[in-house]
Amino acid sequence: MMQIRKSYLLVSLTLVMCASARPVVGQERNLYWGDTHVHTSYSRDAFSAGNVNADPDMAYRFARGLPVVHPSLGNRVRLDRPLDFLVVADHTPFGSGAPVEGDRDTLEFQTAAWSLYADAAERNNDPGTFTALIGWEWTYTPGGQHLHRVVFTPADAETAKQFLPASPASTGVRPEDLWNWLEATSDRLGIDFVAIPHNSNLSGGRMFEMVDSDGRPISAEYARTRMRWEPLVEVLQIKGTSETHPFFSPEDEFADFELGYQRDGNIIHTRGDMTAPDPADYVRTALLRGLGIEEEVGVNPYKLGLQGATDTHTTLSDTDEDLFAGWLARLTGPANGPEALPVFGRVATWNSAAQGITGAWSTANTREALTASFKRKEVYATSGPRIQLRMFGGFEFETEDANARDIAAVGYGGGVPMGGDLAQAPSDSPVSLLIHAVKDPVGANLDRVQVIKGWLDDEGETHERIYDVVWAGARTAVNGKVPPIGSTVDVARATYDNTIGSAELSTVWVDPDFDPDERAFYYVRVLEIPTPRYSTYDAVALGLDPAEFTGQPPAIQERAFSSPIWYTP
Amino acid sequence: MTKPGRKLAWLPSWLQDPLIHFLVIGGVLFAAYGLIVPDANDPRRITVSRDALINFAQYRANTFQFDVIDQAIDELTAGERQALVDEYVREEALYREAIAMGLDQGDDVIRQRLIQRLEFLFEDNDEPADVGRDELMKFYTEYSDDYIEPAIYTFTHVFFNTERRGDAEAHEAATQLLAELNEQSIPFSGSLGLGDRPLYFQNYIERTRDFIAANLGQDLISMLDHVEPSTSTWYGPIQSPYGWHLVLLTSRESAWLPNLEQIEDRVREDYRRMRKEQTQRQQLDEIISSYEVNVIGLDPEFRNAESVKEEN
Repeated sequence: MMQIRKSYLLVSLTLVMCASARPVVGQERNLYWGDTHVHTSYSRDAFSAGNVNADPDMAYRFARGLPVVHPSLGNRVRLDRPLDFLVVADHTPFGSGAPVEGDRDTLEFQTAAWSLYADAAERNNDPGTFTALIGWEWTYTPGGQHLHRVVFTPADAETAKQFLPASPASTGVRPEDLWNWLEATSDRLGIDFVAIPHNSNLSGGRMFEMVDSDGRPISAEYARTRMRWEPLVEVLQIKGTSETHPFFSPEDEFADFELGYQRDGNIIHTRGDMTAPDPADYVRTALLRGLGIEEEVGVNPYKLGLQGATDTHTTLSDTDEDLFAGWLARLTGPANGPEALPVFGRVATWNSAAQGITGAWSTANTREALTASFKRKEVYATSGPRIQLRMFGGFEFETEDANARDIAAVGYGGGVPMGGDLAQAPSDSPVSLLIHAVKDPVGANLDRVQVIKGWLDDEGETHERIYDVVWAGARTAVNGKVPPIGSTVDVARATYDNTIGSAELSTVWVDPDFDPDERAFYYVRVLEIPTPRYSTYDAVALGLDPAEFTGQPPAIQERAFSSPIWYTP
Repeated sequence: MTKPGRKLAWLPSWLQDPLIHFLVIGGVLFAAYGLIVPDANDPRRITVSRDALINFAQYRANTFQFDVIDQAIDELTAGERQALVDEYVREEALYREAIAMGLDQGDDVIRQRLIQRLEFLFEDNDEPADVGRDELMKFYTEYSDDYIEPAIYTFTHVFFNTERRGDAEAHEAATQLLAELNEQSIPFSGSLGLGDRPLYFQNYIERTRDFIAANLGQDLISMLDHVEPSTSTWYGPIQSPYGWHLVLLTSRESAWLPNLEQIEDRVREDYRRMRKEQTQRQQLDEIISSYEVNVIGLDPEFRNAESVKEEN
């Protein structure tokens, strides 16, 4: 089996070898790619799952494109396209996998481990070329409800060593306690932090509630504090997509995408009492709730930018379907052979998704500049492919702007980029969006670009609507929906080709249902043509039938989500 | 770093007696010692500690969340807790029995896992002493392939998008413009605004071969290798997956090797890493070479089963 895996990796590497990571130059900002959520042997759960020696240094080296020996497969692997930035986000307190003597539940152990951890980031941080942001994961899981946050700071190692990373045990278990800690530490040391909630899909109705942790209705102060520290959400990751759920978006034919452990109700928790999907579990419903709360209290607590990360526990950030090797060291496939793969206990490995990644429009590849791009939400999420996506909102974009030679110049010149705000439409002009999407240079063509709009009507009810705004080929919308693009996927061989779809899609979309008196948000979803899912590559490598062996769809439509632009009357 | 809810105040007063603590802690240490080194103590006694149970439950539930299980164990009913302990005991007892019977022998999965754990044990985390200049130079020379800077190209292009124009029209338009560009000696900056909007970049300034290939395809970059760099002679049309291109290649630098001085930090780091791996490998090699090896039955002449039997 090891032999199969090796040759399979080699073939995959050769296929995509021809790329290297360099930012795409735009008018004012460059596009940088990174993962903000990687676990190493320092995380207790990663360690007990068999990741015994793949440390933070290895995570950075792999992300930088240097060859490493795969911790579970034992072969030499290299990321064909390096990342531009990385946050190693191990669970705190650190576990026995940190190479420190003594009892892990002591201050001495944690201090020493944190020091080694911060040094690894410092050693690998190379401003302009590769940014290693110092971060960790604050992990609280009452009764299986995921209230997890990745936290990172632009601070250097020397400064970071003046605090110990917060955990629920050290701050208190409410997210509010974490924000208090961030505020106190930020005041004490003069450094900034970004906290990013994730796996809201596994929060059991707790991530985006209408009330605070003590059950009181959300106040303006709560909303302001939350937005001060948590301006974004990790919308895509290995344990599932949190954008929306078919339960809430029955009209959205693309809502059922990599829902992760919720797919067959197979949720990670220990007591068997996880509830059905809750509006507090998904990002689209949270964005809608935010509009209503803002109407009530004056501040929107869920004005969330969208970004993607892996949450891998193997130390190696890999989102390419043809390379993905599982998220837990023990479950890495298919080298372990078919009998070791499908289901261990309650969690079907194949439900994991080979995603996600963040594209950041930043002025430079440095800790400070990248953190600033996260803070202004000029970032976006993809399920792995490096789809270049720009979106600008304004009131005066015209049709021909979509054909402009320099989209960025027009966009920044006449509007706000993703993550921004529009207000008080002049002479009731409708919102117009200038959108430009280009395929991953070494990836699949694009199927379509959609605008997802959410708004609050004068009765206080929220609504969502999806518009196909530009698409490949000569298809005609039926009842407002563009029919499926078809598929070139050969499941038996795990291949596809780019004979359908477009390399580039751009348009100016003017909201046909605009009401200047209604609060609204707009974000863009870009869909690729269907391509083989990683489980299909693995099954084919093992000579097994993909659908039967993995129980997963053999092909998926990978995608990008922009951060929204908000309109306020 | 203390965990919440682990205070002693709720204990009955007799349990707060230091003597009891002494006896309990002593007992726990004794039991833990027994768990870690069962054979040295009593191979027929199984101690079930909380940590061992958490670890066990994590594998059973495939839920690698220490705190979740830690808490879940507290929430189990007495019956559930007993069932978990029984299951642990069952596995531990049968595991020990299997080891005693030598059933771990000849199983590849078990072999690989044990080897992995041994390798981890020998991983050297100490920083090696400062490396001398000569040593570093030797390393740099030996691994110079790793430090070669790739070939880089500077060019601009005019793009004709086949998706927009169709292949024939795009090629035709490119061919026509090529003649004009060369007749009028249009310079580098002249590409701006000509043709269609490029998908990725208009100008490629000192970009690597891999980068250009990822944007415009392998065929285009291969063609560039045959073009003479010039500040006024345009070349084309060259085809990419997206259309036809007219190219003005102004420079092409071959791959080159930087001096040690220019990349000393990187070489030093690689050297340190290699030494670390080497030390580990040496220690493992020492173990391997401490074994006497007896190879039998591989020589084709001795393929005869009889002779193999005799060797044994």
